[in-house]
Amino acid sequence: MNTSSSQPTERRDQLLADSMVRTLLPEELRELEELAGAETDTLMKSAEQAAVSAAIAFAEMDSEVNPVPESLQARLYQQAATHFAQNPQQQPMSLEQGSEILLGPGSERRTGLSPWVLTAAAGILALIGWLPRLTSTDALSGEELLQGLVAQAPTDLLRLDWTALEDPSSIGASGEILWSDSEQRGYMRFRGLAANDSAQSQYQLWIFDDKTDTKYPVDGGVFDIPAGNNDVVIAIDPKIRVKQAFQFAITVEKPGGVVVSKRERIPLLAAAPS
Amino acid sequence: MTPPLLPSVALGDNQAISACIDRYSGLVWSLARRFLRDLGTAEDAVQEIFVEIWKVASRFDPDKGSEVAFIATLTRRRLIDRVRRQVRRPEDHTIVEEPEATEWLPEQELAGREDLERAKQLVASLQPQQREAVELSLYHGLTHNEVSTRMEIPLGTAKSLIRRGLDQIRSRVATNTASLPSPS
Repeated sequence: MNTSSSQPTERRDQLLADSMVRTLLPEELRELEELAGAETDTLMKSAEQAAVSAAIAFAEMDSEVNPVPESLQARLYQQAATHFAQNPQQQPMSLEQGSEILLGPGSERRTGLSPWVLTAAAGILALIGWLPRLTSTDALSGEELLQGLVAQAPTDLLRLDWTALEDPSSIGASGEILWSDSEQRGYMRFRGLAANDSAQSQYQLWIFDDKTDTKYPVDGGVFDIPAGNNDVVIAIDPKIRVKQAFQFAITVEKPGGVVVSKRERIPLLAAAPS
Repeated sequence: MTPPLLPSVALGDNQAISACIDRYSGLVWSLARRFLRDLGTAEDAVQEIFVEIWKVASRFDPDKGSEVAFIATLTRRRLIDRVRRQVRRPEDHTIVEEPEATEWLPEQELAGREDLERAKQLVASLQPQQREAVELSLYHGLTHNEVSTRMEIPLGTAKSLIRRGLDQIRSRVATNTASLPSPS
């Protein structure tokens, strides 16, 4: 690059223009500092602002770029869930932060608190939104609780029965799942699902979204089935937004759950009719 | 005016995180797809960029500029870094010292909404040939030689079109460039 024949202003502006499309080399940066002096930083920032503004303008006018691939979008959601799960300083908030309620599956891994498990013998927790508000003295059966939920549910409530697949944990198991896309929450009820040893394995919920690749279901979180409880209701608290749920699966995973399931053990499945 | 999402993202708000992906993945994808050309590389870059967005979300200050500029600035820097790592351009053959990766400067002022509006108007008003040259250079990340080849114009003409276009954008868009000081 020949600078000896260039006027200082001309050369300075050339370097600033170059900085708008690439990283200046160290020697170019030193040259710019010699030419612009104390104004270098200001000029560089202004050049970058201009480049960014123009790039956004070009992007907004660009009708030829294909939309974001669905598989990439799904990976972004999954990656975000993983990132925030692995970074305690950025733990996802529960929907009612600070409340004793709403500790859904997966909350143990993120918050260190016990998962919210409501048994038929001890219905003790207050719920939010479209869910009925219970007091600590309430003791509803699983059936009463779910009937209450349905009575106040949003219009897009999806209610599906679990189907037990071939797995030792789900022999004779049944139950149902209630989910609302608009509310982004729901509940699962399990009858007869085997209790797990949380030091050995945990159950994990996966939500299949009709708007994303089925290879990348949304992680609905991990949960435990306590020993001695045949009828258990668990709140769902997905880590990322589910646009249109159409299928739910329970897998058995290592403690804490996994980012991508190998789907080796699938005790239960619930699918909307196609 | 759409309220910014990043402050809530920084707190790990699930809805904000999803909304952030929904709102900005298209922009990041467009920039990456144009800048990197290779589909797989662009997808990798988008994923890397979003991880960085999650990491630096707390540094976004709405008083210093728009959220879209924050994300686009970060995106461009990472894309430029990537291109620099991947390809040594012909004009860079004299490189003996690899520049450091650009760092994110949280205190930096960003383009505001007015800057973005001015940029849109200005880009739209550029002469067709100049606009194409600037678009290929700034948005698609092509070198001068590549712009010359793509537009089938002499290299000198390509350089001149790009330079004049970038100067025009810089002097009229950026907030601090209304009157450029002369070098001492």
